[in-house]
Amino acid sequence: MKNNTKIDVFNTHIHYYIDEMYLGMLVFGKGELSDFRAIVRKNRMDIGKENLFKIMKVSLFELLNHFLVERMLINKEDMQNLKTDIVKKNEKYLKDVEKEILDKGII
Amino acid sequence: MINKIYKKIINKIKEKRNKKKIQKYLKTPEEYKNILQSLKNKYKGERCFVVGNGPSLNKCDLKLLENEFTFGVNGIFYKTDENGFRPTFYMVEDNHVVYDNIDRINSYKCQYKFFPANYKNIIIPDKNTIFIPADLGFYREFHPYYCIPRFSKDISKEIFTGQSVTIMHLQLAYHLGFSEVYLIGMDFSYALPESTKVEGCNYTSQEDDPNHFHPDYFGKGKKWHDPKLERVLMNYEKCKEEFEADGRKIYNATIGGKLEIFDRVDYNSLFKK
Repeated sequence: MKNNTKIDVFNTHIHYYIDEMYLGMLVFGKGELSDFRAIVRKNRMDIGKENLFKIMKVSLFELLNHFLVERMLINKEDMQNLKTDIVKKNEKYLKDVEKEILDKGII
Repeated sequence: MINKIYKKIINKIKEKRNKKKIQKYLKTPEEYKNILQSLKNKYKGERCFVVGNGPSLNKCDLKLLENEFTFGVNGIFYKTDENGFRPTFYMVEDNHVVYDNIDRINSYKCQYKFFPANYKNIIIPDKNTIFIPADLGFYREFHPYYCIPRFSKDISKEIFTGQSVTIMHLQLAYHLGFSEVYLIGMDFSYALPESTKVEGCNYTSQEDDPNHFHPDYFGKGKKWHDPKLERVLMNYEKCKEEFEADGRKIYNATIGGKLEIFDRVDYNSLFKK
């Protein structure tokens, strides 16, 4: 696994992927985060220009939580470290996507 | 004031008891996965009946199903009250059905009870309860698979929702290995009584239910969803495809009704010697 994150940006929401597997989505208006099974994990988050990056980062972390436990069923791997590594590795990419969202005036 | 405090205390005690009850038979996702894997193809080559709850069910002699494998959904317990019919497999998906009938669902006895895993905190499991990881993407606007039918051949991994609980039953039947599936009580038509309170896709009945085999099914005060039959049909098409690709078949043995996508068979003829 390369653990590369990809984010598709839409006018109302973003889709998270990891190595082309769907992780979940963040809907800006509702402030709603739902996982790959469309189960809502967080809602009514206030998403604005100032906290966009932070929310995108925390959301990735949260989505990895459900994805790694349920889909990959990691047995002996240290999941906490793995999640932190993935988020850290993709931090620059998240910054780029944040810029894209702000430049497009979505938020 | 004292009454309020008393009620609060009682509610807390109830909550604690419920938690204990839930924990008694609740297994880990890994354990449910193992159970579901052990059920794969358990009924290979057998036939089964998926029992819908349309008014035509009253025309079927359910005694004929005594020695058959049957799948029942939602308010089938009204039929159990009426004539003792009890399905082999029971499932509920709709949240309105769960919330409006939670006590009946919890106390309903069946050989197997399947529920989407998102009801783990509401439904009190008994030893026959199995929670399945359900994917709700079909319902969620903006989801990559919003309104796109999917079919799971291995429900130990996941099961896909598809506008009707019978879609989940068909995936379950496939997983269990059934090669012939007969649908009954699938009238596939809904009348919306004028008195129904409509709030978006959520309906609240104000009178007897004309769409099911029992007038109390979605009777006065009960909530239900817009059935969106065109979306159900898309999912039936997908199920048909998957069954036929594997040399299996779904038949419609409903007496009457408007579901024409599956080949029709006469219900009574299935039991003639």
